[in-house]
Amino acid sequence: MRKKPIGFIFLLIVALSSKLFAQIAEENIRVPNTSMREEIQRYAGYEDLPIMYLTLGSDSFLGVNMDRSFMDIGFVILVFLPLLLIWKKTQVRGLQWGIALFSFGFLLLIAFPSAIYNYHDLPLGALSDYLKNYSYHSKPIHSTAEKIVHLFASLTGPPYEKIVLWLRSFQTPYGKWSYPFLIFSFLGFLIILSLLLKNKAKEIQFLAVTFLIVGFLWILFSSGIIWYGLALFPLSTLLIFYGWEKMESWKKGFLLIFVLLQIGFHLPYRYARYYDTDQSSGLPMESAVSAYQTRQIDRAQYIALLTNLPIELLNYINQDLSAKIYRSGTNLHFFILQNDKRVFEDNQFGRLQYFFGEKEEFRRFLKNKGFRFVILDLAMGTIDTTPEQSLKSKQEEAIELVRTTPGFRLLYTDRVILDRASGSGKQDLGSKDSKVIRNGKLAIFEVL
Amino acid sequence: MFQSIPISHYLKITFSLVFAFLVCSLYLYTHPEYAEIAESPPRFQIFLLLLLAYAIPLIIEKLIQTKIQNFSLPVLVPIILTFIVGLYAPQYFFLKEIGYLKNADFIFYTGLTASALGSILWIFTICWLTGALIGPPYDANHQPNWQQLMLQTAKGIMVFTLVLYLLGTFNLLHSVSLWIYSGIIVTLSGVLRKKISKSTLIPSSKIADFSYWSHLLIFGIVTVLAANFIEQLRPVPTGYDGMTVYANLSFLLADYQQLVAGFGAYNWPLFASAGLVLFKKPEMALMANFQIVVLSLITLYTLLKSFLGKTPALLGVLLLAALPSLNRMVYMQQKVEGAFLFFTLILLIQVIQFLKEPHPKWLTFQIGLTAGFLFGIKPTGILLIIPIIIGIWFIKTGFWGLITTICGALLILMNAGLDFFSGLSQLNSPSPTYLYVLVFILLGSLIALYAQNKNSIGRTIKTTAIIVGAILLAFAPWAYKNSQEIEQLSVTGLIQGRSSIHLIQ
Repeated sequence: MRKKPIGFIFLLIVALSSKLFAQIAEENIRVPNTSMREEIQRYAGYEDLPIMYLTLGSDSFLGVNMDRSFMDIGFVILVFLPLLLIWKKTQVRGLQWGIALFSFGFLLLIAFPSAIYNYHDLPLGALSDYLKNYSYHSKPIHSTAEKIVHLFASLTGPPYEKIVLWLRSFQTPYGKWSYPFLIFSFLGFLIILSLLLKNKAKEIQFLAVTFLIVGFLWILFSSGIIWYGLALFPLSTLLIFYGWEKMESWKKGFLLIFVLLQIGFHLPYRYARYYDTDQSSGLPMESAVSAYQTRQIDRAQYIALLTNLPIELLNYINQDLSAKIYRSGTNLHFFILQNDKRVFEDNQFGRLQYFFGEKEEFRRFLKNKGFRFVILDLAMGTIDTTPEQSLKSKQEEAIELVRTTPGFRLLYTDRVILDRASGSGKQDLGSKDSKVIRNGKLAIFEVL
Repeated sequence: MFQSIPISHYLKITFSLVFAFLVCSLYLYTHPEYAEIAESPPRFQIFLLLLLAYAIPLIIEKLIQTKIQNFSLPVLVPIILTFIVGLYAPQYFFLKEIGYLKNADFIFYTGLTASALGSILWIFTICWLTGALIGPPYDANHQPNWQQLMLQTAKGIMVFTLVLYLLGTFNLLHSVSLWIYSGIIVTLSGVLRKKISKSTLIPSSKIADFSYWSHLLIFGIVTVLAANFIEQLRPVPTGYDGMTVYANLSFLLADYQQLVAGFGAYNWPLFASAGLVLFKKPEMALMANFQIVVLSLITLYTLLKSFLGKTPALLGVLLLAALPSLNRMVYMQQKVEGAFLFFTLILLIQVIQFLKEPHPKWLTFQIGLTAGFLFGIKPTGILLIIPIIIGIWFIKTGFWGLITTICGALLILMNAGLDFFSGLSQLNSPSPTYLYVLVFILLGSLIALYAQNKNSIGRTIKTTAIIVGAILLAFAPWAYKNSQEIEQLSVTGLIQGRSSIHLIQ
């Protein structure tokens, strides 16, 4: 029988694919600015590099990096995935207990204290002082949770600080060894897992391995954006509930209590959201939607409520469909006709920053390229979680650039400043020294 | 008589309790909103009304059963009744609370919800029939089930999206074309009635098929869906991503009646545009997200049920359905995650079917097509597709297959600089030595793999080749479209198409 050159074919595939994909890497021009750090890394947090990766999972479940409801994925998976290590029976018990001890040790000594540090944006060593001066929440349920967590933090905070200091004492920068460390640790973990999975059903072996690899790739490449790991939800649910019929009754009861507890948090929250008339989000969603659904306002009125803009202004922007628009943030994009052909989006001012200090140059550039409007988001700084607040300072500089350059006309802003002459508020951007009464959300300029 | 229980048993219980209690406290600590909800829960009257709506058919059934044994109503009866009450009760109380009740036009509201539900049902039916027509018929003994129905619908959505793509390419993305397509599908279904009746019978579940626990969980799921439906029924999208990319794209497609340049591959916004094109109502474009989440939850239920019983499967579904992240992402932000979830589940079901022997020959190809479609919804699908291929290698060739493929995959992905897209490449600057170590491990494991699997390795390579080929085939239309937009042919260009950078060049 003729031998098939399997090995050669496989290597050829890897080599060709590597070559092909290496091309992608070359195509990705490394833009020397901070936009990616501001836009994407806020999901992953700004801790020291290896800890940032290693705590990405627990941080995401606990919602410490992005405290927003669209990032809320509950706690059940974080409770039960590690518990599977001591709940499930395997044939290599010593190994199983070894991994379990290591995993829980890691979670309790590194991941959880790191989450507390991260949640409060504390510099290393500041935890004990912070806890001493902490003012507890008025609601008893929350303040009880706070007291439990603080007790835990006071125990694990000091060893955690020592571990971080030890990591910082390394001569080689994190960026040099994080990838090799993560990849080879993962390979080691995968080898051990494949031993634990011996003699399990084929489907479970497949689900567990797939889960682990999706999870690892998510840690390596997603920067903590939870919806990039959406596949982990069904996979982990299956792994946690697997064997339900034969599960010991205490485990069943235990699982049921915590699953129902999470549902007990989430369901009333879902229902209550519908009644949330709080307008702090700036979008009068619920009341406007209901009014629209029951024909108390029409679509145009709904849009006016949503954008908080005079409809004439939108019509003016949409009058000349060849006029281009520079836009940074805001929710106006959707209301600009043919926005795919007209709007240049620069949310983190990654392009605009090249013109800082070159006022006239910016106006000339826009004019030459056919741009007629500039839309700036005045609230962009509020999403800035970088320790150095780089986005916030860029935003302020961008507003100053456009505001003070001749040849830009302010068409509209919802910022309200104090008019010193009349002593009342007026809608204007004012100057750096103006007293801002309401920050507002946007400013629209016309390039003259 | 007394069985001695090892001390490790109590240790396990104690440790599990302490650990779970700590995680729960940490979660509450970082989510103060739940403490606030717990102290001011939502309106009790609505909950009571909804519960009554669900309970009445159950009570009626019990009463009839005293006279007619084995009588049971379809489970859809309490579900539909609760859903309807879920549409009206919260709306009524909310309008009353904000002082808008007096001028509220509930007839208009009924028309609006009915037309939205009608449009969802129509598109779902067309997709389902399309899937049934192209799928293989079942044997006479085959019982219809929800999983089969979802697999057919997924297939139908893929074909329907391809039709929309072709129509968009030739500037024919308008209502007449879509009505003609619908007409053809309905006619074919009539002509090939035998095939349809064999393969697409809607499964019917009865109230009696579920325990009271299960009914409580179904009740929870339906109430969440009703709340989401109301929130979804809006004339324009609201979330940033929806307003700038996904829902925006559906509106642009309907507006231009042709494909839109840029945006890479956009299977889901293209599919979602069908509602707007067909029914000319803006709400219908957003309704696609509601529809797909319902399908996702049913698919998740069938997937979980194939491993677990009904109650734990429903518990898993409710766990997901109630997640604030999923609700906010899909209903408020109008992202494509609902569709991504649905096709992820379909892919998992297909692969699990594939792992069972014997399986239909075409299944491998079908897996590739689904994976390709998933990649066309969002390129992050690659983070699932690669692990699935590695998982197949693990099952088919064992430990060395796992090590070989994971090393190969990591070499490819690290070389490709995938971390650029998440911005993490800026933080990392490793020396390439670790890649050489990976190559070394790859070579070693490859030798071991070959030595242990001389006979089966060829089949696994063939399986992988079919899957990858089908992925490329499913993505080919988008690669073609993107190639027409870019000046220089490149891999990134083929995936992403034109970017908005041309506006400043």
